[in-house]
Amino acid sequence: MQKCQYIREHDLPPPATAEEIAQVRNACDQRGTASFGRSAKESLSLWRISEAQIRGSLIRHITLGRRVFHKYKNDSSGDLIPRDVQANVTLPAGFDVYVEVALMGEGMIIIYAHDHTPGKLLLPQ
Amino acid sequence: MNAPKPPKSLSGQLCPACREGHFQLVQVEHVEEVAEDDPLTIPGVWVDRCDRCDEIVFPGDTVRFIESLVAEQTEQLTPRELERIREDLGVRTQDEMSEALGLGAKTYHKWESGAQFPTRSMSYYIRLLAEFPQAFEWLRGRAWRKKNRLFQQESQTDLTAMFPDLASPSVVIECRITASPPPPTSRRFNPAIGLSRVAFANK
Repeated sequence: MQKCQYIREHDLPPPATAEEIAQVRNACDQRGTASFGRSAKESLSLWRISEAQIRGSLIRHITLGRRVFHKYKNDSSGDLIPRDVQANVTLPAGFDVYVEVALMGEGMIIIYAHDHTPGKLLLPQ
Repeated sequence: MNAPKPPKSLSGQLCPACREGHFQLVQVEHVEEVAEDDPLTIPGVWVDRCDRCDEIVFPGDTVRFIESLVAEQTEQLTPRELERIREDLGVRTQDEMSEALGLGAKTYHKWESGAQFPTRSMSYYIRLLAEFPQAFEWLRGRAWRKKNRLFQQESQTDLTAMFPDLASPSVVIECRITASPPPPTSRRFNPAIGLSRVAFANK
């Protein structure tokens, strides 16, 4: 059995602020706007889960006090993507996926929802 | 079916992909891949599209609309259909329906709220129950349990009929159990101790 390996604490991106987390939660509760990017929409179809389930998973993640992080740009500059947060979320089916969210006004776009890349260290929950 | 215009959209907001363009609510033709079925082409789906990079974002209401069409295509029951069937069958609450169908505590709630869709096979089964309310009552009353009890009684009678000599009071089967005497208590032999003694004696 392969051992789960998480990114070390000092290598983690900074956590999302309380306001950002509250905004994600509100959007998931449908008090704000929750939209889906093309990639996230395709993942939902592939996994055969509904958009309500992924919103529910995010609410559960936040309610349980699990962690939400910012995201670094892919250009190795060490800069953060503005208004962008990510989390390692457990779906109702029982498996964990990365969910990346772009915060928009009072709403959000779930840009990506994807499986963990094999061999890469995981974001802790 | 006309796609409903979503009440909440990102129209006018900055696109997070290019950070230059702005979203506009437009209608497009959407092709949804449906497992084990032909792809489903849905015309006039409302999406937010960036006027610069053409990035498309699906509002939550649009995603739910697509999900309901996929459920229809795959013959899965929609929340509205489930509610109608439950009411037609005279079941007042979702808890009662969950209990009757032998489902987990939350599963039926999820189906009727649209959080999950029942599988195609489960949808067929519920449709069958809706068509034959008697069958539903049979299921709800767990009628097979009584039937099983009757079956057990019948099987006992049958055994008596099959072996009349065993059933007659003149036959006495004597069964005597004699206990064998316990083995004599002896010290457990530890070969290691024995060897060490031999080694010590040799020195």
